[in-house]
Amino acid sequence: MEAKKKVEPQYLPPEVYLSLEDIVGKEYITQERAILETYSKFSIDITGYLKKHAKDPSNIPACVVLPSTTEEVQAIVRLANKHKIPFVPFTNGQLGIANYPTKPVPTIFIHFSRMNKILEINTKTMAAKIQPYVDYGQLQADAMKVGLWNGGTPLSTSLCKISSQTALAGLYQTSMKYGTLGKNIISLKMVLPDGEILKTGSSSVDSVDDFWEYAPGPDIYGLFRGCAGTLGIITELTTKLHPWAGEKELPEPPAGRPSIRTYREDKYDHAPPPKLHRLYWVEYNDIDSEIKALREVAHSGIGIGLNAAGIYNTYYCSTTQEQTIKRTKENFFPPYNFYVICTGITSHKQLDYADKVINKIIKETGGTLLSKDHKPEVLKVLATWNLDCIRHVCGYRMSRYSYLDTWFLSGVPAVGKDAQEIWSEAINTIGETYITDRGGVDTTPFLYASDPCGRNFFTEADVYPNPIDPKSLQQAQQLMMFSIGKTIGKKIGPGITAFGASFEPLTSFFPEMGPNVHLFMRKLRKVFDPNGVCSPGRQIFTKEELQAVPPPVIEAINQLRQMNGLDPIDVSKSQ
Amino acid sequence: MEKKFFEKTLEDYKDQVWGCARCNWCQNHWGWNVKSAEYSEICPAFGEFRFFAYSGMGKMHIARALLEGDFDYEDAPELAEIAYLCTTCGACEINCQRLQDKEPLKVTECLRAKLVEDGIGPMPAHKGLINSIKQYDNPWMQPRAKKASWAKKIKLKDASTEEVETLYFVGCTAALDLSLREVPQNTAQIMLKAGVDLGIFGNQEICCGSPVARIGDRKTFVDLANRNLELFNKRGIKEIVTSCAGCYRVLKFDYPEVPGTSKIEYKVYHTVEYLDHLIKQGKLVFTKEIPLVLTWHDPCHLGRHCGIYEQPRNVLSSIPGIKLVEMERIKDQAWCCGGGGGVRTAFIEFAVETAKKRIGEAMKTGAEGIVTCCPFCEQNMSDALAQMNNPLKLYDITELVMRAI
Amino acid sequence: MTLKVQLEKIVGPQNVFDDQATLVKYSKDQSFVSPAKPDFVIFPQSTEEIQEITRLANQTKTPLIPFSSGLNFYGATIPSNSGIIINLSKMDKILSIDEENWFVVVEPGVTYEQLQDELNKNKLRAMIPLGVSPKRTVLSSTLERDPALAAASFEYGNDLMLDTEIILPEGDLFRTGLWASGGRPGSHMGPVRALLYRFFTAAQGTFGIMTKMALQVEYLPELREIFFIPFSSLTDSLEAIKQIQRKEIGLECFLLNRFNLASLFCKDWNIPQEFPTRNVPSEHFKELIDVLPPWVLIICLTGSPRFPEEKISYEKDALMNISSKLNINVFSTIPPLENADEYFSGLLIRPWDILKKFCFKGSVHSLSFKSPLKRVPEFESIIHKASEEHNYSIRHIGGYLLPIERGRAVHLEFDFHCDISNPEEVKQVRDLYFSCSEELIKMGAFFDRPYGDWAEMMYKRTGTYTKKLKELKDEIDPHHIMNPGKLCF
Repeated sequence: MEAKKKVEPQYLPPEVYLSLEDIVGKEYITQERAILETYSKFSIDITGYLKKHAKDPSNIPACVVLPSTTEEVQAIVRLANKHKIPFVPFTNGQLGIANYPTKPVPTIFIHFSRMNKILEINTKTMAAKIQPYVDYGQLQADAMKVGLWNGGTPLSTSLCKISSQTALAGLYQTSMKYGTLGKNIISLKMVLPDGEILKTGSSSVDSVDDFWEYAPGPDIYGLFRGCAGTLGIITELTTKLHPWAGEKELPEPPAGRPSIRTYREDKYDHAPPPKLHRLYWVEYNDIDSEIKALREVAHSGIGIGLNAAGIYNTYYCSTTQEQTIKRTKENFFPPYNFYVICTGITSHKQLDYADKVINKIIKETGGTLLSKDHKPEVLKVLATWNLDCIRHVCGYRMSRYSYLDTWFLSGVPAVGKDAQEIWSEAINTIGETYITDRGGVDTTPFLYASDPCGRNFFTEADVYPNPIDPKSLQQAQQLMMFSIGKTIGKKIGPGITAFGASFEPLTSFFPEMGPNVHLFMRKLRKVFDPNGVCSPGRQIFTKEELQAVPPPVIEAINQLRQMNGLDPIDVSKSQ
Repeated sequence: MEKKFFEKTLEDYKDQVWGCARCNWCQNHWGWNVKSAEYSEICPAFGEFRFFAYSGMGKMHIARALLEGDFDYEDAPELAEIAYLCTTCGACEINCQRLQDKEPLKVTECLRAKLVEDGIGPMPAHKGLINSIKQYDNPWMQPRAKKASWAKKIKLKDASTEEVETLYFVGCTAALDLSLREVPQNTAQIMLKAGVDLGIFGNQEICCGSPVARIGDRKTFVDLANRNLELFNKRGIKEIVTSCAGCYRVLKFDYPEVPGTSKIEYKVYHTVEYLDHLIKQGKLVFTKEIPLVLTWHDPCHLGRHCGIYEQPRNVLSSIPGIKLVEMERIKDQAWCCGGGGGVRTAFIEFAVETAKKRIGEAMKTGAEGIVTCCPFCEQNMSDALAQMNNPLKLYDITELVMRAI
Repeated sequence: MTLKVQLEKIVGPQNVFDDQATLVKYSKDQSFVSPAKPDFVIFPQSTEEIQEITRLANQTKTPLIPFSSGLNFYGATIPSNSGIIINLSKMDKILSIDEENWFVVVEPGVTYEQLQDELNKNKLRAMIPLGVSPKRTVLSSTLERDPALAAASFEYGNDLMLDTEIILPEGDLFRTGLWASGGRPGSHMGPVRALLYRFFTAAQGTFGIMTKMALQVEYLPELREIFFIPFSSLTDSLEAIKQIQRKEIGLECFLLNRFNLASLFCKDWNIPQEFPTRNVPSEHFKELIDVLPPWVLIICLTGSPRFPEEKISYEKDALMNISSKLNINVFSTIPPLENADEYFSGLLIRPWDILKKFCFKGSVHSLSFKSPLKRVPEFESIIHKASEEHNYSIRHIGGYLLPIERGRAVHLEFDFHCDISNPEEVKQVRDLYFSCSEELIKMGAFFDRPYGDWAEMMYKRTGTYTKKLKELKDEIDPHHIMNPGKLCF
């Protein structure tokens, strides 16, 4: 048999490794090849998958360290600065932000799996102080016991760490009431890229309690939020909690529990919603009526969450690949459907009021409520959401083919139509990679209210290429790039948000953003990361890194620019 | 025709290992059921060692790299240890199946099989176990003659010569571990009292093969499976009861996955399942009160692997006086005792540490005792209790049933 | 070319002032901050002009002080080291009102009164802070994080700002939020995930000049019902506030003391046009302050577009439930006044009447800070103790408590009053004001908007944060031309 080519990581100089060992202890550092492998391919990471196919070692860390305190993190960061060795903070790896440029440089991965404690739940200020490896589900479970909750979980999964969501997207199913995570952080304790410790919010002042989200004067937290771990490492954070109307625990599905023999049965997904919570599913005949209804609900003063999941219900609510494909082919779910989550925080009567309002809106906007009289079989399957709308477990239920990239747009509800237009053009130009590429966002965009009163909605197109097939991966990547390019090029309004445009290599190549976002970001990086060692090349290149971008990459992006009527970027002249 | 599991190799899981979505649910308690931050994790190995490689997802990634030749054994000196520091509790498997339609435990077992085939696995400590099975038909280095000594004072049919309706397949651990002696004794007496026509193979009972199946020695396992099946067929066994969660899983679900096996002719029950039937049929009536607050530990191979959750709870709640209080992680989301998958043999410290975590969880319920029905769990948890100097009582469910009738 | 000529070239000669009268006018406000004159006062009328001014200032190293209404009462626009006041009041257009999606885009000169009038025509309302002047500009007030009167609701607790357009100190045009993608505005989130706009808040113009802002606005309810709960002390009110807020009852919910209430209802006083103003002796005020309850909690239940009565009804039931549990009385007016609800109904939309209190002495010196709800009594007692020590009557302290985000925090304002033509009074109140500030800050009161002398008191307690702010300042404003001398710069 022909020997396959090995992929060799770059290791640290032994003296650096030994110093790291002194910091965290022998048990909590490794450069074992098999372990390193498990830190080298992520979710939502076509680039990483392609690197695997290309036998490119640049995603494989030189070592993984597991610090247990802020002081240990600080010591690691200081050591890395001393030796000018890059480091990357790491929690789940659910969002692959592949390092760039592709030149393999020995990199220290700082995995926070040991910093997983809830340090305090303060019922008076409705706040929780936590370590970086605490996830939404954990926090929610503990908060519910004292009549509070964290206002939702991300639409990917409740396992997301709150720290990494602070550094990234942070959208909830319940953002219509509670906003995004960005609005829910009270303070961060950060180890800055140069090893200094910085606290934000009121806790930045020595004599003050940790209860208020702004520091005196200009708010540095705003810069860290969404910086994807490039401006510092969160070692503690304080997040807001909100009044919770349900019980101390989420309800159990009445069907009991599955075993590894019976997991395929839908009934295990069908728990009732929590006490004092109700879900309404509404169907529409066309997108315009749906959008109108979404806006009316968002403005109606009821509900905590509003979400049109469209075709993605075929994933969330199906337990096997076959079921997913079958339901997609059969249009099992009505294309234009959304749910409203209502709750009775004030009282039970609040729910009765919401019931009246939602029915009136349905009548006004020509929708139909899913009920025992209308598509009960669909309503039954959608019951997955009864608990997922509070604590999202099934967000990664993508079956065999992985969820590998996302293109996000945000704006007023009509942004859904922009998504339709761009995505249709993308699949008509590039071609499909999976069954849901067509008949998905091009027909029925995912739309979820992400801001109080629904001033802002998110819509997205996700791709599910076959991970074994590099051609399929490349095609999916082209679909994403095409959509991002179109969005910027057309200036139709919506922005590309969570992924893509504010990660390199796009930040530097689309100076239209802002404009001048790239210049501002570059200044921030200079201030916080003078040695360029904290997740380098991720959010913004330094000028030197920009010059080093391989010509084929520059060419590809410039083609995309020209396709959209934008002038190509001359890297040598770029500021 | 689809391959049987014991002829599958990593290659058969190629699409799964490439497609691992890294959702991380293999390390965590199914979200809806999480009741506290403290007990929100589910993977004992990740819980202890904190590197991803020890989780189900880790094995998926490692398997992918091995399949593609990204590294070789000489590049990864700790590979065998990583593969064997897994209790095969299947928590990763159930969550991944529910969400991703993928099977990290099967991948782990195929990885182990590959390591065995390539001479990298199993762990040195496992070799004694395998030799013992080969030599004595049990993993405990005990002569065959000892296998029936627990039954000396009980009048039981010899199923190898007499016709019986029900075969009591005791299992090596229950039969040979002196500290567990009461388990088979109680079981047999309860059954007899309920009028079951029960027999045992006695000295002729051979290991079901569970330990070797779990550590990836497929050759030895297939051999044992075939010998057992031959014996069952020869004796016309129609119904089997077993005391051991490991035996139960193997007899029920692994034998049909042995290459060349056609339909399994017998029905197999775990003791608790059988006791539940007897109670429901009115054949077992409790007359004595046992005023205890108890919590139930679901053995992985019985619960999560085979779906036996309600039967032991039914048995306990039909005993007068017993108040059952539940731990946070139960049924399909139960935290493993730490003993399975060859871990107790090769990594006793990790096994006992894992049991200590389970005992800590049991203590939080306020229970006076912890009840289970798997000899392996009982061995492991009693070691942990001893190390912790913990007064919590550990019961096999048959002991309580015996006391109550 | 002189600086004046260069400025005239950019904004036109009619928009450049350097006469003494103008310079003196811009050299002071009603605060204790020492007066200082600028070199010029100019009135740009476009973003492009501001960009050019900024570039010029960088070349000539001239300080720039952004200015809109001049109704900041804390000295934020008094030059620390001469320079050019950029008066943005001529950029006063409401650029768009999105009735469908409830947001507006304003220029820096748009005032609250102007915006509210315009929005009300469209059945919308701006969320306005209590105690701003009708002439205060929406942009600067929002930028300065003045908490809206509806801050008790999570939705309006803070961050009403959506997209912004800023001229950075070196003259680069910069947009945040959705607008940064080049198309339409409408969200604080856009192609960049960082919440960059927050960096420019409470910065007193030290990081750039904001030229446009998109802002959340809200439905103007047709039906509202206002309730009043009197308390004999601030401490007594806290449990009620907590319980009401945890049940999410009402849109607006806040507490005023009798000094503030008496000012509101004083028929002898009007909202002054200038600050400081002339004191207006009033017997009516004295009568009111004698009869009004020490503190009153004001709660406004607001109807939604559909079935407004029913919404108010379930909230009212919940309110009555709490009041009976706590054994407190809920009124539809403030005893002994009649029809306080009608009065407040207007005030909540146009909350400037409280500025009438300037008529008490002419100038108001407010301690404005944040605290956790449970620590309010501590801070109140610090103020009372200091007042006694400085012989200042506790009856003459204005008190305002605003729960934020369902009571996780509160905004507090306690104000002292003096006649600036009376040096003794000024000294007494100034001493009281500073000793209170120092003690409050020492004990953990959080002055998140560190104006004037508070800056030193706060920044000396924030090690790394201050250091990083200074480094950012050096990088973003390398010549330190933007409002130098403010904050820690």
